[in-house]
Amino acid sequence: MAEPLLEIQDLHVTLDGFRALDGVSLKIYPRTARVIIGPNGAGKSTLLDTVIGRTRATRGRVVFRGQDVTRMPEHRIVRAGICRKFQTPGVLEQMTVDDNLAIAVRRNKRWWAHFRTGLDRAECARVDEVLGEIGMTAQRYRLAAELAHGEKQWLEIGMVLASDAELIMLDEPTSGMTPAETDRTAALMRRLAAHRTVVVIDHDMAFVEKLAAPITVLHMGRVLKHGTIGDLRDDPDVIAIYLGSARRSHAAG
Amino acid sequence: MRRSWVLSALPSVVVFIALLFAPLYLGPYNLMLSGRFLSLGILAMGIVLVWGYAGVLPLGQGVFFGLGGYALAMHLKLAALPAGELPDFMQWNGVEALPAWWKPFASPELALAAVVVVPGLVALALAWLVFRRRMTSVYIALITQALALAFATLLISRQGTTGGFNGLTDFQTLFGAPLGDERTRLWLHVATVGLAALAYFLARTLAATQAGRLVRAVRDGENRVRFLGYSPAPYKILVFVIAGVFAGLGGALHTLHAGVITPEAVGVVPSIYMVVWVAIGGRESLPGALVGTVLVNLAKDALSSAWPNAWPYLMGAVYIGVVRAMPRGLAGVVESAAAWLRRPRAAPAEPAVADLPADTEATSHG
Repeated sequence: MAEPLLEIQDLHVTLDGFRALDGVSLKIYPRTARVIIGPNGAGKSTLLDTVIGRTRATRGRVVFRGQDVTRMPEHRIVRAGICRKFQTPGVLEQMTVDDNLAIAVRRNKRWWAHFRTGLDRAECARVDEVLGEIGMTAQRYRLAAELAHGEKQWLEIGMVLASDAELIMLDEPTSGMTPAETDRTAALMRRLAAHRTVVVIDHDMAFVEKLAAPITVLHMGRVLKHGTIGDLRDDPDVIAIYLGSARRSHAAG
Repeated sequence: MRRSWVLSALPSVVVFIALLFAPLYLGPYNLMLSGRFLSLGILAMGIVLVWGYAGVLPLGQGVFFGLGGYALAMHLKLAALPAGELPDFMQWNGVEALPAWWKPFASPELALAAVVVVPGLVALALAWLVFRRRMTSVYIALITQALALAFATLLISRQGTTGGFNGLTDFQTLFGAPLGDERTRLWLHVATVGLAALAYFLARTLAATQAGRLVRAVRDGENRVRFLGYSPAPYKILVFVIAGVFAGLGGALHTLHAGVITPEAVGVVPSIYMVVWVAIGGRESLPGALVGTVLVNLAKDALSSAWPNAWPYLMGAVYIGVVRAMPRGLAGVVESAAAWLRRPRAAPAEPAVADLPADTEATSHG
C-alpha cells in the first residue's frame, strides 16, 4: 500500500483538564476522502485543530508527507500543504469575494512577496476557476459580509481550494445550507477527492451518505469504529452513541 | 483598476500642489502653523496605518515623534556652538564634557539619518517583541502608553544632558542657513509639503498592494489569514515601523517649525491627543487623518489661548461625540454623504455595484 499522506499517531490533547483527544491514531491516504463523525464533544474539531497547529498535542505525533508537523508554527503547516475550513465561516467580511480568494490563492506566502497590486497570471486564472467551481462568479465583487450564510460557507471552501493544499480539511461545510446547497457541496467534494485528499467532519447524515466515503467514528476522544455508512448504520455501538441522536436532529433540522 | 487608481489620486495631488504655493497666500505666522500641522499630519498618517489598517491602537507615538525631534534638535544645538563649547543648558547644569552619545549629532548627515533610523529601529524592536508574542491590541496600547510615560520621565530627569523639562530650544542655523531667514523658511515649507506628500503616497501605495490588503485582512481575521499560510506578525511589524518613521520625521519637522522640543510634546497626553486627531479625521482614511490633524490643531491654536483650561474638556467632549456618532470620523461622514448623493442617479444604470458603499455601513455590524 502507498505511504499515508497524513498519519496521526497516538494523539493526546488536554484542554483545561478535559481529555479532548485520548490516543487517536489515523492514517489518511493520498487522493481519498474520509468522513469523521461523532457526537458533540467527541473530539472531531480538536483533531483538526491539532493537525493544523491551533491546538498543541500533549502526546503523540502528526506526520504529513513523512514530515513531523506536530510542533511547527501554524502557517508553516499550511505551507506544507494542509488547509482547513472552520466550522463558523472564517471569511474576511470587509473584503470582496475576489479579494478573499486573491489572498488564499497566492503561491508564495512569505511576507516580502506581496508588494504588488495584483496577482500573477496563473493565480488570476486559478481565482476564475475556483469562482466557477463554487458557482460564485456573479458575486465576485460583493463584500463577503453581504453574502448569505451558505454562500459564506462556499466562499470559505473556495478559499481552501484556491490555496491548492494537498490535504483539505472541512469542518461542517454544510451547516446552514439548504438541502439543494448541501447536494451541490457533496457533488463538489466527490469531484475534489479525485485529485485531492479530503477530510470532512459533519453531522448531517444525508450529506455523509452522499459523500460515499469511508467513515471514522470518534467517541470521547477515541476512535470507536471505521467503516462505510452501510456498516455503521446497523452497528449497535454507533447507534447507541451517535446515529440515534443525529437522526433526530436531522429530522428536526 | 490601475487607471482608476491614478485618477482617484488626482484630488490629493491638487491639494499638495496648492499647499506648495501656500507662501503666496499665507502670512508668516500661518505659514509656520501650516508647517507645524503638516508635520503632525505625517505622524497622523502613521497612526492610520497602525490603528485604522492594522487594528492596533498605538498610545505612544509621542515616543517616536520625540526621538526624531530630539535627534534633530541635538544637532541644531551643537551646530550653533563655537568649537569646543558646550550647549547652554549643559553649562548651567555643571556638565563638564559633551556626553559620548551627543557626539555623532554634530554631523548633519548622521543627525538626519538618526531622525528616521532611530525611531524606526526602536519601533522595530518594540513591534518585534509584542507582535511575535501575539499580544492583543489592549496590551499593546498599555505598553506603548507606559513607554511614552517612561520616555518623558527619562527626558525630564536627565536635565544635564537632555535639557530636562525645558527641552531643547534656541536654535540658530539649519545646515549653515540662519533659521529666522525668509529663504530658509521657504525651503523648510517646501521640504515639509514634499515629505508630507511622499509619506501620503507611500502609505497609499502600500495600502493598494496585496501586502496592504493583507494588513487589513489580519485586522479582520487574523486566524483565517494565518490558516491560509501567512504569518501575520510581519505585516503588523511593517506598519508599526513605517508609523514610527513617519512619527520621527514629523517630530523633526515640527521641531524646526516650532523652534523647540520638550518632554511635554512627547509624553502620555500628547500621545493620546495624536490618536484623537486621527479618530476625528477618520482612522481608516489617510486624507481624513491629515485634515483631522490640521482642523483640531487650528481650533486648538484659536481657542486654547482664549480659554486654556477649557481645551482638554472640549477635546474630550468632541472625542466622545465622534466615537458615538461617527465611528469612521469626518472621512466616514464625507463618504456616506458622497454615496447618498450618487445613489438616486446611479441606481437605475448599475443596480448592484452602485448600492455597495451604503450597504457596507448597514451590514458592517452584522
